[in-house]
Amino acid sequence: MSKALKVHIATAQTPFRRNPTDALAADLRDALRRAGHRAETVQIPYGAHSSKRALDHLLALRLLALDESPDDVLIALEYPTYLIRHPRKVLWLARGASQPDGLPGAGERTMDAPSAAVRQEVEGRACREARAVYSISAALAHRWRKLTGLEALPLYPPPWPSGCADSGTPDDYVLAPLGGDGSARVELLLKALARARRPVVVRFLGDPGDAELRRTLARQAETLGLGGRWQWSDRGPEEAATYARCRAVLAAPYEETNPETALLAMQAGKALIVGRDSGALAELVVHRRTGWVVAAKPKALARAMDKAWSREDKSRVLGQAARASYLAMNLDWEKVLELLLA
Amino acid sequence: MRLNWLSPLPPDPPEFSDYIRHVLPELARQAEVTVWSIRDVWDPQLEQLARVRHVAGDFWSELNQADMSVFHLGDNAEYYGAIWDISRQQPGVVVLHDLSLPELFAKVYVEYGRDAEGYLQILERFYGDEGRRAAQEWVAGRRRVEDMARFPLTEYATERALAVVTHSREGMSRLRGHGRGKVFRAELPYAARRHVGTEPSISGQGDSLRLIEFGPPWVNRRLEPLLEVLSGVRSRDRFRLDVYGELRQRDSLERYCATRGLESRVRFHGSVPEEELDRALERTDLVVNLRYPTRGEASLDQLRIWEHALPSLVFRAGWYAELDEAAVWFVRPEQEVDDIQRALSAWDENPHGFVKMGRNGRRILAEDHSPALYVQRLVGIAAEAIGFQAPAAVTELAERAESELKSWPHAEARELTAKSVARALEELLGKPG
Amino acid sequence: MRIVIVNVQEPFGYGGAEILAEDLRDALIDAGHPTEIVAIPWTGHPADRLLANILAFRLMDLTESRGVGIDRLIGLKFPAYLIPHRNKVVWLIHQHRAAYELWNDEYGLSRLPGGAQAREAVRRADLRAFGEARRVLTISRNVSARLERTLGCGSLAVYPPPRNAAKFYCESDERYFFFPSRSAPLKRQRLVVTAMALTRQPVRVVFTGDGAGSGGYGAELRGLADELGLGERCEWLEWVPESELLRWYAHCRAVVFPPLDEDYGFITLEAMLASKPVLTCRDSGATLEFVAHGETGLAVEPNKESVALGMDELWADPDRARRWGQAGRRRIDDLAIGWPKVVQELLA
Repeated sequence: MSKALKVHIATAQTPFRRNPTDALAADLRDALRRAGHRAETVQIPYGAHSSKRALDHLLALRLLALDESPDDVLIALEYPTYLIRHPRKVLWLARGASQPDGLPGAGERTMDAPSAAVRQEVEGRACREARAVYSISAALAHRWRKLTGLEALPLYPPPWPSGCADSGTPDDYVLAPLGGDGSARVELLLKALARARRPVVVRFLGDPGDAELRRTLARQAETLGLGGRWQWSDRGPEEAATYARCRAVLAAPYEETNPETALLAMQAGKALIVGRDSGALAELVVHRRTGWVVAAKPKALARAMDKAWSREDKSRVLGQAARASYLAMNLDWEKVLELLLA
Repeated sequence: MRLNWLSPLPPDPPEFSDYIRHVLPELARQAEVTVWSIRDVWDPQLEQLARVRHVAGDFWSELNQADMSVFHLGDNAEYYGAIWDISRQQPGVVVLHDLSLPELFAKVYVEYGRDAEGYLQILERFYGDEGRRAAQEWVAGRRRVEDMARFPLTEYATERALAVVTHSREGMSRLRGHGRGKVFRAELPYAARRHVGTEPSISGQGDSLRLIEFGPPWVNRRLEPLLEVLSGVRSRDRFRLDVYGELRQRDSLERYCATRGLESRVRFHGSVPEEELDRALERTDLVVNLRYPTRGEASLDQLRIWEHALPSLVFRAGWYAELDEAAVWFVRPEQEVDDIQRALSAWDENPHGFVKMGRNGRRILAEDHSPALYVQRLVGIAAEAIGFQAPAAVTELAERAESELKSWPHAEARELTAKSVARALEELLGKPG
Repeated sequence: MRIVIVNVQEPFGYGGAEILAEDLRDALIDAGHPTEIVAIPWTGHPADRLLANILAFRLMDLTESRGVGIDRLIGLKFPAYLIPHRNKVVWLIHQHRAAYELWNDEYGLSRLPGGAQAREAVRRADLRAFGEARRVLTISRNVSARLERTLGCGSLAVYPPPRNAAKFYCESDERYFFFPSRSAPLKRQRLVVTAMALTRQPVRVVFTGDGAGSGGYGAELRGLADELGLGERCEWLEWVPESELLRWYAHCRAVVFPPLDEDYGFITLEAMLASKPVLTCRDSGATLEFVAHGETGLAVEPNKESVALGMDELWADPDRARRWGQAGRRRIDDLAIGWPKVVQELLA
């Protein structure tokens, strides 16, 4: 191993909003420390992109100086952290170029067109300064290329080892993990559930603090008359067990860039039902080999759910193939670090 | 006022280290000065006048204790290179001993620093593609360093200076409006020795003319036209010429003299001790000080000539062109032979006129080039420069912001943000320099 | 009010300032104000980076977050408090010391090329920031005094409460002195070690801090202790969990804490909460705002002879040490340092 480095892992900070990228930053930091480097996560204020000071803030980040020695590395995970000039800057995009950080705030104005054009230009320039650009999925790399014309190499973040083997007899639910950013298309999943012919039960896995989401779910489920057909599980330390006992995993977010759900499903040896337009999740599933990739419509999803529900043996075979596929990917932090620190 | 003073020191060659001899006694009287030496040896006599420290190790801490630093730059990498390197990291007062500094950078970057790429970038930054190409030629060894004279790099040398001091009016006009530091002029100081030059021994009318020429090898001493004129003089016993100091073109000049039968009247002495040159100057009627092209700056040698109350032939070019014409005889570079001829004829007719010229020079030396006045001026400039630190920081930061902004699309966005920068800097640090 | 506490993230350090920011955040939230900490990384050297960062911070925007305004900005350190905001309050932990009292120190600006110009820039930027703030508060009278001395700027000292103040307790004297600070030259563990070689009493000192993280200085201290033949009179603890730390406080005879010009010194207060006397020095800065010489501890000259005498005095008379400790506890109770007061001043 080469000498110990000092690494800053940078994520964006929007006060009073949680940033899911922080979790990846923490994992990366821990991996770096295990490898003997000094690593810290740092948060860079996102700035207000709707205020007239937005461009001032953009310039501020272009002028901000963090590096002190040739051993310093900056791993930028998202906008606006990659704007910072640094002699050893590497991008590992966890979020798309200026991808909105969740739903816009009420009354929030978006950036005016000329400022947005400036921002885009500056972004491109700043990213070209990097030694290398990676992204956490091919879907994200694709979006990135469309927005900036630049290439990013997919580099999947290794999920935590589950420590939970497939328990043998799966429980009676299809697991539907939800991201916190409202792109999960919950209503679509419920509509699909309503059209299922089999007595499918869907257990949603969500943020325990997101009362709003649970209320929405309950309301929509009631409207569709789904009564006891849906359940709720909190994200948290027990998550792995929840994955381990499901019959299959269901997720159909729109143009998802984060591959985590798919990787967790594969690691747990579960077939994954995804929408064709589900980005990073669809890219990891091979239709009818490791899961089902179908049109993101209630009917198609319902069919897939029915199959997963009624054909246990088939589900298991797909699940095992998914796990074999996962193992063949050989995801581990050592390889990630090797690339990021090259 | 606590001052740092960085310049060549004895035992560096006198051409470089003489300057401090003229300045240090007054400097030590008028300020609390620390003299900094690039080398780890220096003439111990210096320490009778001031604290001397070696620029080595962790010297920044001590350097920063002074109120202001004064850096001396000239077109020679060996004696000024390290000083320049410190001056660009520590904004201070820069005193230019040459206006053009092409050799300084050509050698500092390429020979000493082995940073050819850096050199190319600098030439390109200031002189565009042409500069870059010339630099490439120099780096590849296909050019002599003299060929880089077209690229003086004065602006680069003074880029971070808070104040720039020049000893000539030409320097003032060339530097004004370029670079960031405020430009000042001060007359080159010379500590005249009292026993010298008050009573020159004069040859009378009808005696032969005793000529002298002297200087270091790297200035362009134009002896050819003088020799041409002398070779046309029929009575060879009417003059003698003594040439002192190493000369690059000595061999060819000696051959020329031989072919023209001048060898008995022209003597090349080479390098001699200073006292011997002084004695020779005491027995001289007229000094030939024709240097062309010059690097622009003032000349201690000319002031030495005036110290001896001697008349001299000078080119009407560079700093020399600014001299009082009652104290020198001007030779036009494009009419060298004619003007030298006229000078010799004039001496024949009225040698006393030249004696007066010499005395005028002595008077000007005493009035305008006193070290006390010079040091007072410099200390004043240094005091002003303290107040330039913040404005200089503002200017540099504004430029840094500007270089980022210029890559932004939308002129309006650039302008608005530039205004924010200007406002931010003014609020925090004050106005730009 | 929506409040942002703006701090800097020092490269690879976590210490008093971070703890203070977190506790302040929690206190403001408890008082009903949504509050977040924004800690921005930066570097103060070389000089051109420092200057660029002064401009960068000034251009940053913390006026709103996703369309909703940020009502108040509380700045704790340089250059974070340069960020503009119409409702900015400074609660100064310390100025950029490298430009002021630590100018000539190992990490002072005088060590940098261009250091003098950078110092001037810091000074001017500070004057502006303190001038435009709604209020300027500091964490101690010492910090306020420095501010007055260097910039002629007035301020109000508002003491931060130590974390977990309620948890400190006092128990039997187990015959050792406790020096719980991180190992660093400014904390002056070296002074205590050299003093120990001069004591008449068989003084024992337990040192703590970052241990391995203190780098060369920690190893230097241990080496020195060996050289001086102090043997087991010195005990060196690496990082200890809180419960153990409380225990070490609870059973010591006295706390030794003689830093140079301390900004505040939570340790002094922790010692007083644990009802222990404190040995400090006359140039230790803010510790002197709490330690009353001859009443709650000793404030001696900062040389090894005086420190040795101080240690002897405390060691030789455990009863008096206990009485002084109890007086210290009464004093800190009287001072009533608490978050409600801090919150009140910051939001005024």
